[in-house]
Amino acid sequence: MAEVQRDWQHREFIESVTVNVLKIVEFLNKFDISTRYRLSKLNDQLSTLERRMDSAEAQLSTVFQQQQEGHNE
Amino acid sequence: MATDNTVQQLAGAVLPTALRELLGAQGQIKEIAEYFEQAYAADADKNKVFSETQVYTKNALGNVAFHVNVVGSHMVSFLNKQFDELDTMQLQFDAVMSRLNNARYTLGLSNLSSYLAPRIYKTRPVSTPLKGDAVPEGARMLDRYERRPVDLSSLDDVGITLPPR
Amino acid sequence: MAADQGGEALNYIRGFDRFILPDDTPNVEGPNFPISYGSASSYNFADREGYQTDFVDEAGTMARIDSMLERGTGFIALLYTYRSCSKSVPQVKSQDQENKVELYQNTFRVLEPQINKLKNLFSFVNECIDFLLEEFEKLAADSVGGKKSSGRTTSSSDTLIWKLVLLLDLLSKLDALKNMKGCNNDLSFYKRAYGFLRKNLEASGLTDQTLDNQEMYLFLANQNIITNTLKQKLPQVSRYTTVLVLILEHCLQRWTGNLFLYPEEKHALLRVIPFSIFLYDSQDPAAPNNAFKTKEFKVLDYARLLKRYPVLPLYGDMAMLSSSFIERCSNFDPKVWEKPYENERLNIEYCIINRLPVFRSLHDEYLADFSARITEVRRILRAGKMVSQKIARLLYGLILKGFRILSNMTSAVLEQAAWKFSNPYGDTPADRNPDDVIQYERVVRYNYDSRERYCLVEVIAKIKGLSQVMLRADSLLMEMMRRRVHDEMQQFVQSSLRDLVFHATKKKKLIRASLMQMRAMAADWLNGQEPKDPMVDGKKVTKKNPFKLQIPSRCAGPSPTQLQLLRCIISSLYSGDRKGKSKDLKPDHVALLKSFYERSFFYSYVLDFQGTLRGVTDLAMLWYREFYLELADADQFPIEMSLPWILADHILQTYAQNPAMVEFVLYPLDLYNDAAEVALRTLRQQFMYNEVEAEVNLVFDQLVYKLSETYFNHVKVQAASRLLDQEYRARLASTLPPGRLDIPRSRFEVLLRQRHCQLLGRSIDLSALVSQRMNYALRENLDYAITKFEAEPFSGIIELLESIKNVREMHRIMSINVTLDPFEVMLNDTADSSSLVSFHGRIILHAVFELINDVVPNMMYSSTTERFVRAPVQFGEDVERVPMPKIPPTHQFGTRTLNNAYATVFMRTKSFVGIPHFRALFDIVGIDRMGLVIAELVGHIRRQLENKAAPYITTLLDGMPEQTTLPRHSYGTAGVIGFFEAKLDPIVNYDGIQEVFQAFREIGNSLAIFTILDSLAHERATLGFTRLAPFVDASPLTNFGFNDEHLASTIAGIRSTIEATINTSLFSELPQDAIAAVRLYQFELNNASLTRYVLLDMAKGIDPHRNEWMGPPSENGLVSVDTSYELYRLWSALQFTFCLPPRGDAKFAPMDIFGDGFCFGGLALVYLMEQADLFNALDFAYHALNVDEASEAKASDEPSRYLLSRAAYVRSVNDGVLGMLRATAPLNTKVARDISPPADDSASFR
Repeated sequence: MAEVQRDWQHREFIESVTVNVLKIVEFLNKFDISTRYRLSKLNDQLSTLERRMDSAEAQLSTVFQQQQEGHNE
Repeated sequence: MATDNTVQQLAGAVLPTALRELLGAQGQIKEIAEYFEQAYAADADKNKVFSETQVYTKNALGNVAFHVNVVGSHMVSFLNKQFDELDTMQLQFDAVMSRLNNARYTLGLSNLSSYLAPRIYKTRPVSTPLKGDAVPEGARMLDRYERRPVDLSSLDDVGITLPPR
Repeated sequence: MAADQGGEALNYIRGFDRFILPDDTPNVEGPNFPISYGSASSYNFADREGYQTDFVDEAGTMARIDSMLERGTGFIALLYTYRSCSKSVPQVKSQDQENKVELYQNTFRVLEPQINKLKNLFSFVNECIDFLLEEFEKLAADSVGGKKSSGRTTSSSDTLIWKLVLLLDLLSKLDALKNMKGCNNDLSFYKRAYGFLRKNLEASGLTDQTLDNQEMYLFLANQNIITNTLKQKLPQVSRYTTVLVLILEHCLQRWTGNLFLYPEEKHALLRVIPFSIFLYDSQDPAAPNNAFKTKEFKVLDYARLLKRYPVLPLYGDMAMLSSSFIERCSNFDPKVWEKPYENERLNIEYCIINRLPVFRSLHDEYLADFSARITEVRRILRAGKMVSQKIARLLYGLILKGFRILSNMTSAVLEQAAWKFSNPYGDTPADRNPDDVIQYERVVRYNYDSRERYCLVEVIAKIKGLSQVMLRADSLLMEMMRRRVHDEMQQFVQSSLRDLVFHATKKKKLIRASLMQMRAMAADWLNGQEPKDPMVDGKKVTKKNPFKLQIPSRCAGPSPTQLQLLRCIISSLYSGDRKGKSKDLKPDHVALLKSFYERSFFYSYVLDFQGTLRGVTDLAMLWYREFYLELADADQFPIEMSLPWILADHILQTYAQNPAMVEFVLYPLDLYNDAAEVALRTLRQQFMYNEVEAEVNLVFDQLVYKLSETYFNHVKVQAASRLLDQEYRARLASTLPPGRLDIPRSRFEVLLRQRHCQLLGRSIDLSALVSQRMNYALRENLDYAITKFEAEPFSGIIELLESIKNVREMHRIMSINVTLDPFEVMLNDTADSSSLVSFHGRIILHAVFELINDVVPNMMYSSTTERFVRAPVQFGEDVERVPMPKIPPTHQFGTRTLNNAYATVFMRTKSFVGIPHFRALFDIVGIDRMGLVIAELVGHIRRQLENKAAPYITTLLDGMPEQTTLPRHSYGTAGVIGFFEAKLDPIVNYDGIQEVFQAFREIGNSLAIFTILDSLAHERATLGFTRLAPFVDASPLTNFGFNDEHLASTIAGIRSTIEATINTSLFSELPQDAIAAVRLYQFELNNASLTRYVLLDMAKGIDPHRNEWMGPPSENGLVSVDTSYELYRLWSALQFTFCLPPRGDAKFAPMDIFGDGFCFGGLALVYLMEQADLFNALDFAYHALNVDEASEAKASDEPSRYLLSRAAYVRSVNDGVLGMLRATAPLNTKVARDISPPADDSASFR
């Protein structure tokens, strides 16, 4: 029953491919989770910085308005 | 593996190309499958075809693994660089903000100081010289009292004396 | 080839471990990853010929049954998710309606595809029944025939019977689903439309359907038609009863042998038993079989089996009574068929709350074992060694145990759900009127009490948590398990079969052929050839012909068909005849075969690790409710009735009582993942998925909203109880019910650090969502506090300060878990005080408004307590303010008790304005913004002086009597007071006197405020100094000298030491900054005085009137004693009227209305006019006091006593004020003038 033996080998090859694919998939999952985690941290920092930048800009704009009023008086 | 390129380089060129290659790898596997189907049907020697496809699949798998590795490392370095740059920006911004607050603080204080008169013991000189005729005739300057520390050493041995250190 | 399996692929994959992938999110969600890869592939017995075994045709039938089951599940999905659209089809009202034709055509066009699907179902059912009858025919024939040539008995393998069981179960399910669904009114619409359009339809070549429409109508209309037709047709097969008995025995055997894993398999077993008994039992005269008396099978043990499971989950939200089929048996006999246990017992059995401790211990133990084993395996692999056989076997057993635990828990949950479906909640909750409570609510929403909900959440969490831990280890285990199964199988086939073959060849038994067949079919010989093995030819292994068996290790499990065929042969070998004893085999051989047979049952489960894990933890059916939708004739139920939301909401709602549960809140959401998976993969209905998705969107919004709300309240209470005065809190707590004021424990950290929860394939950053809401909520809270202050008098500033402190503390607590904007930015934004140049801000503006419009004009100042108190009679008109905002208690100080506690704290400072209030103003506004407040007050004083006080003074000065010499002592006090009242009559009875008092009171009050501000500024300056001193090297030893260089020099010192390491550019301008900082602080240290500035400013204010108020120059060049045109004379008069008792109808004396502020104001002016000493000497009230003190007979009449007491009080206030004035604004001392005595006495006689 040579076919049965060869069948075993073929199936082993298929299994090894599936195991490797599974390892790649597992790595991708871990990678995805960790990158999402870091991206969200980055996003938090960025958005807080952005908001503080806006408030700083608003503060500074009050100074320039003051100067404009100073000029055209 | 990731050469030291800047964030722009990574975002601009390096990452997109790596991703494109990864995408290409996916196409490869489809081709292999099609090739195997026709070859298996047409070619007589099934085993030869089968072993060929095995080799191809292995390469394709290696290819995918390689590209995943490359994209992964690029992505990680891309993220690290972004974190560093953001931190520096954060520090610079904090410096600016503290300077801004100081400016406002000093402005506030100077505004307040216009409503503060220095306390009396600040303005009156210790001794105000009398002018011209204000000084009554017989007045003469008080002589200044100089302070002499009292010497108490004579009392050292009186009473309970502490043991000399 | 096996060695370099994808050589370079492997080292890349091994390279993956090189990545450091930080992720510190605690893992509190179900087993769903961004990418899932199911590797199991069943080719549906396609390769059965390849194995040349006798069971090829049996494998063929199994393949056909599998495809039949496949189509069956499709039809189940069709029926279960069938939503009749007849309600929405427009009715044809009357015969002569003009668009009748068009209406019918449209209904026909719309309904045709649906009806065709139902027709396919009808044909499928018939096909299925015929197929079943064929199979029964074959099986019946087999069980009767003799031995087949290959020596094994003909009974077919268990797997085939199991497939038949599944087929029967399929049919019973289809039947139940058809009964439940109202498809027939769609059909009737279709029939009417078809009837009407028949003529022109036939013209267009459509075959005549009236016939099969009628058949369809019968099929859909009457209940239980599928099971009944099967029952009627069965007798056509001779000896069908033996096959039914075979099936029943097989089910019992499987149940006792525990040979099932998925909950679905377990329930299928239990469902088919009553069904087959029903099929068995028949009353028709031709073949009377009474299921309850027959000897072919003992109905009693089945009854005993089903006693424990009277209610079984059928499909989705439908439960089935196992006794329903039994009652339908014609000769049903209650005595034989024991009734199930009584309800309480069943309640205990079904409700998982009672089995929770067991589940908990099982789960925790298993988790510990599993993780320990996995870490051990990881360590071995990392060390590069191969995992030993022993560990592999242990792991195999462990995984199986894990599957079993999970499947027990899941089936317990599903059974409890079924039990709840079958006995709804009796009475109606208080807040609902009975008739609009939908049945689904009785069955789900009100059927789980609080404890049961907690228990259900915990079990779901355990199932999902454990399965995620196992799923994470998938790639690790996959290889090992394949090797393990391969070794076990080869061990059996190659070595343990050898002595069977040896025995069979020696005794020349017929079964040798099938043994050899097994070896050929399943063996995986070392490098491909079968080794020469003497045992095979029946000879003993001796030294002469030695034989050493070597089994290759291979990472590949058997193909599904190979495994099935092997098991078919084995089961046919040892099962033999009924009694289980086979003539050809020795007992231990049978035992060997039996044990391998049982072990190999689970191979397919372990090989398809991910599929089994998903199957064993599938709780999707908790969400589906098509049956109850049909019942309530609704399109969809609101989320309040949907189980996952009920659980999640319950956890958040009862956070206070049970905080630990909040970590489980994401697990109920995992039910949605399962439901969506089933909707897409098994039901394959897009609209189902859309409904799941819509509900998830709504639920997640609600969840985030509720979570942030609960978290906000929790942190608010935490901050409020921490900031409340501890001693007060302790004493208060003792009076309240226990625990009311405790600081609650926080369990939110786990949830708030979730940055990527997987929901329906999307990854959601929970912590970012909550931080957005928190940013907004804190700002809103600050806004509430400020608007509340704007609606209150100035005394409300203490509460404002407390709220700001509270929010600052909340900000500190929250920023541990959640990223927030800095608190200062938040405060400045809400208080509009973030501009760099102007010092305005809602708080400052309102404070100034209150000071100028309420405190100064309407409040009485008392110099002893340095407080402003509201006068009994308000002189000015009332101040109108912004209406008080309605603030929810959660935004004030958390719970109601805390609010009351804080209210009592504020009560102390509500009724007056004093030092604490101004200190609060300083804290909130900050020293650098006080300039605005001071400027406004100074401006106010100047305005009062110019347009109020000065004109009054000039007019009143004219009204002063010509000459006011002090009366002689001999008049006595009463006489003196009467004299003054008469003399000062125009002033005393001046009708605008109140206005005059008010003017002076306002100036006085402002001055008093400045004294307070001054003392506070001084206090802060010393505090600042003590903090700063060490930095600027200003200490008492160095007589407080300030040198800028000290700080600069230390920094320069630092720079020089570390010059090498840090680039100096960074440090270059640091010393200059240091000097600037010192100079900045220096300002505060020379603590200039506010009050002195104000007095100098007032002095400038009265310069224009100075000579007018000096009065005429005195004749004797020094001072005129009795003229009354100087300011101090007027002030004495005013002060005298101030001390008079209330005149006429006035209830209150002026002092009780205007307070000490009046004295402050007037005396300051007198002092600034340098007439203070004269005033002290020549004041009328003082004179009356002196006269009274000197005379022996004190004045006894009431008004003078009253005046004297008030005068005494006023004198003490004046002395205090004069002391303060002399201290802060000492005027330049008078020049000493020597006056020579008169040359002669002539002047004295003038």
